[in-house]
Amino acid sequence: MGGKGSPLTYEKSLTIEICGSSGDRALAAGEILIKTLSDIGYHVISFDAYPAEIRGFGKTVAHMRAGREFMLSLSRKVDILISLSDRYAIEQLRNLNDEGVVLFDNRPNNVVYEDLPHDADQTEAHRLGPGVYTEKEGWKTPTKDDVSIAGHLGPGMYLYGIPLYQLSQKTTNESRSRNIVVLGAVAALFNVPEKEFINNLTAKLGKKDKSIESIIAAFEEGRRYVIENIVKLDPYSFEKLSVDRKSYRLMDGNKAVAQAAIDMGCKLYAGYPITPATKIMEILSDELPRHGGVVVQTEDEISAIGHVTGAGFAGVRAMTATSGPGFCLMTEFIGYNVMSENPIVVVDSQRGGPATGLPTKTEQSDLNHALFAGNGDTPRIVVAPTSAKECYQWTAEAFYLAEKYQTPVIVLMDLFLSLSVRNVSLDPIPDYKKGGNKFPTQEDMKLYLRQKITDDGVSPRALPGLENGYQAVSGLEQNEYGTPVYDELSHTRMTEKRFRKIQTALENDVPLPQRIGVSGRVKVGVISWGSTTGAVMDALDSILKQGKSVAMLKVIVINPLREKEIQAFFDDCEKVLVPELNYEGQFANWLSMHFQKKLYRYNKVAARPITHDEIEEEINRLLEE
Amino acid sequence: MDHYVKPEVYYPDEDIRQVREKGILQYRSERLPTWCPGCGYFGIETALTNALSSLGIMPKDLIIVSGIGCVGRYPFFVRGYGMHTLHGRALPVASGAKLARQELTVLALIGDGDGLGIGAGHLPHTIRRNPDITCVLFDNAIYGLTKGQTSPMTPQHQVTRSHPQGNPDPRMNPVLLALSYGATYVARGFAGAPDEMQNLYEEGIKHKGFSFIHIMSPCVTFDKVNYLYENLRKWVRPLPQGYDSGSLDRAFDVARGTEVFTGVIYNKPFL
Ligand SMILES: Cc1ncc(C[n+]2csc(CCOP(=O)(O)OP(=O)(O)O)c2C)c(N)n1
Ligand code: SF4
Repeated sequence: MGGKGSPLTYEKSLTIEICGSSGDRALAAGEILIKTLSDIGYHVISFDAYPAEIRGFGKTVAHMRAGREFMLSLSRKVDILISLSDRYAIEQLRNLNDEGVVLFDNRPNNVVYEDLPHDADQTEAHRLGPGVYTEKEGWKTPTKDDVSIAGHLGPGMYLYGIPLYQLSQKTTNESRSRNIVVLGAVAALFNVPEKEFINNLTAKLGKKDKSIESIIAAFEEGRRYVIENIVKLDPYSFEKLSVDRKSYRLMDGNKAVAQAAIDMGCKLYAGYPITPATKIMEILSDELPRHGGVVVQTEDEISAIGHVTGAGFAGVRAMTATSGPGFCLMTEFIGYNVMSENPIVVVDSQRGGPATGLPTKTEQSDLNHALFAGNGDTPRIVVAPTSAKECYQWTAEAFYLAEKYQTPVIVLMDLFLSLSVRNVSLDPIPDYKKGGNKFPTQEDMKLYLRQKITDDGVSPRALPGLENGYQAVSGLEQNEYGTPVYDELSHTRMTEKRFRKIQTALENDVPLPQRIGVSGRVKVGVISWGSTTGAVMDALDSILKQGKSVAMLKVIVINPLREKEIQAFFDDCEKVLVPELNYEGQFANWLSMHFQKKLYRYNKVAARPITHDEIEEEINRLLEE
Repeated sequence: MDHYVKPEVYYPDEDIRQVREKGILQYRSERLPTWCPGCGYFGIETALTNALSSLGIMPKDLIIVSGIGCVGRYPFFVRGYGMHTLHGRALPVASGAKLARQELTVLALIGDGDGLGIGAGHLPHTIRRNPDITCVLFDNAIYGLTKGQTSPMTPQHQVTRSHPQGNPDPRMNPVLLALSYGATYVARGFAGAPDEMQNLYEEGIKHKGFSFIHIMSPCVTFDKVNYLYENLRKWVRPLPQGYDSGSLDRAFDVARGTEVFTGVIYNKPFL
């Protein structure tokens, strides 16, 4: 191997896709690759559900981005496409960078082996020459569908053919290790250190029945083949970075949420399966019992939030997680917990809507519902983490806030946050956040009033088991003595109290929104929420390097809003851009309810995350306009 | 609950302590029931509090969860921890509370519209999961709180406010439903027979697992034809001498039969 590969490495990042049909184990290869890149010091993010074109049974795409600098979003273009199934990978070519690289299985006689059973007759294959084997028809002449990806590349692209099939057969006596051979080729072509690769291969596959020796042989064979036979022409490569990433773990947002629940002492999780939140229940079902908790799979989401409500009243931290349709069913209980001042944590991982919508596609269109769901005046806290790391931090925070302010807290994430894997280093949760309840004092117990009106709006909360802390909480309006009431004065005072609490939370526990970029006056300011914030931060990184007058404000707590700070930011901005993954501009609308500023909206319902390049283009457009 | 700082326990109320020491438990809150005079729910309340008292369950260790309806008001009239939840949703909330605090006694009080109409979906699943809670169905065969519409327990053809031409649909059979889904304690009582009810409650609360107690109770205000005290007195009769409540077959016979037997219809001890 020779050629020009310089340790880049590429200015920002490289996006890699491994595409195959279902038996090709492209996702397993992707998992090993991303873990290895993370181990050698790169920041990574992977999102296998991306891009939107994945459809039809059988096609799988492992999609990942790796770079030297911290990043939170995906790129629109792919730099390296690894094909384990040309039929599917050809469709992926449209996303390939003009100077992208394609690795493919260079087979003798153009035979498409992907569906070849282990015991198929090789002699027959060679006798017939170029052909396709299918289970139904046996060997046949190739059609348009069967041709190799080699003929589809654009002029500036790089193509490397590697005889994955033969090398796999040679080392493991079967064709299924093509995904391992190709990783060996990737190691050699893009300078990914062998040692970390082999560690991860062993960790992931070592437990399986097949001997790990033959797998490593397959890997080595792919590597050797490239070193001996391929001249590297493309400019992309990695290297082992000298950074310490020991504290980093690969996890997706769902795992981060589940981990936070465990670390916060959540003792009851109730849920009903729904994409993309199901995984939270699955993780907790496995882990919570070991921490003295229980998981209930309920008959519906009403029952799920009902269980959480009961547990919350009983004095135990509890949580449910769902997606839009399930969140709709929970609406009445959101109001109930507002009225009865009961702590609950509800995670809504948004997907395309309305109704059943786009179950496997990401969107940020439940904001209206999270903010307003429920009849009557129903103040609640809504937080929207922007990364896996923040999914951990803000789920923990949600437990704390719910307990401290005796209110529902809604954690809004989305399918992209739920399912994309990143390497994150979690900040430990401070101990004081693990117990926020305002217990009654001795003074309070002289005449215990559950609904006592206080300056900060928070009443002392006795938990069952305490003598004389008796109470009957209700979804009816009650006076301080807990009696249901319907008069103007009581309703006014109690409504004020419920809103006052949220105001107290704002003053004491809502951090200032983080401003990034140029300080003082700027031409364009971006304000964003949820997972789109990652794309904005990545875009800003690149734009700031060009010395442009841009800043952004990251808002995590959507209600209550830090109005003063947001207003100050708006005052600094000539133009304010609000990008979000919904059609109406739900966040922009929410801001318009609080501020006079004209907002430049950027809305997409793309069924995929907004990318940093798209935001960058939009900011540049506004700068030039 | 180790993650909670446990507050000190105070006994500010001398009276309560004395009451405790004397062995009488006071479950009545300072709020008087707002039910219509003559409502069957008074009898249910008395029998239930007597049962709690005789079992020695302390108010501090009691959570009463109710739904919405006239029955839903129950927690307001009781000293203890109570949750007046949403229409139809007492069972999930009670289950959650019990799972969270196994040491507490949790009662779920449901109405016939509440628990068999809007919230009926929770019943089979709660039975399946078999939490150790006691569910009392206050069945007055009418929607009381909303003033007299048809409930899932209203007999077919009965004229109600929502069906002036007569209820077109047959009524439900809660005892059969509970048995079908595998409830391990199923009983039926009548609001006019407090001693029997008290016994059913005590057995139900003692029973490990989900217990289901169907109580037939007159709504004196909105039902002038069906569940009248005199009718119910005529209809109900105790289970025959020697009835084997351990036999599921016999229980099904009772549930399907035309005679309205009261007592412990099925009781499968927890193994
Ligand atoms: C979601 C919802 N729908 C409707 C109502 C109105 N509602 C209140 S009580 C009730 C019927 C109660 O009947 P039942 O459960 O039989 O109890 P009862 O009043 O007879 O004791 C209805 C329909 C409500 N509170 N909530
Ligand atoms: S309306 Fe009927 S059920 Fe309700 S309190 Fe009056 S009598 Fe009882």
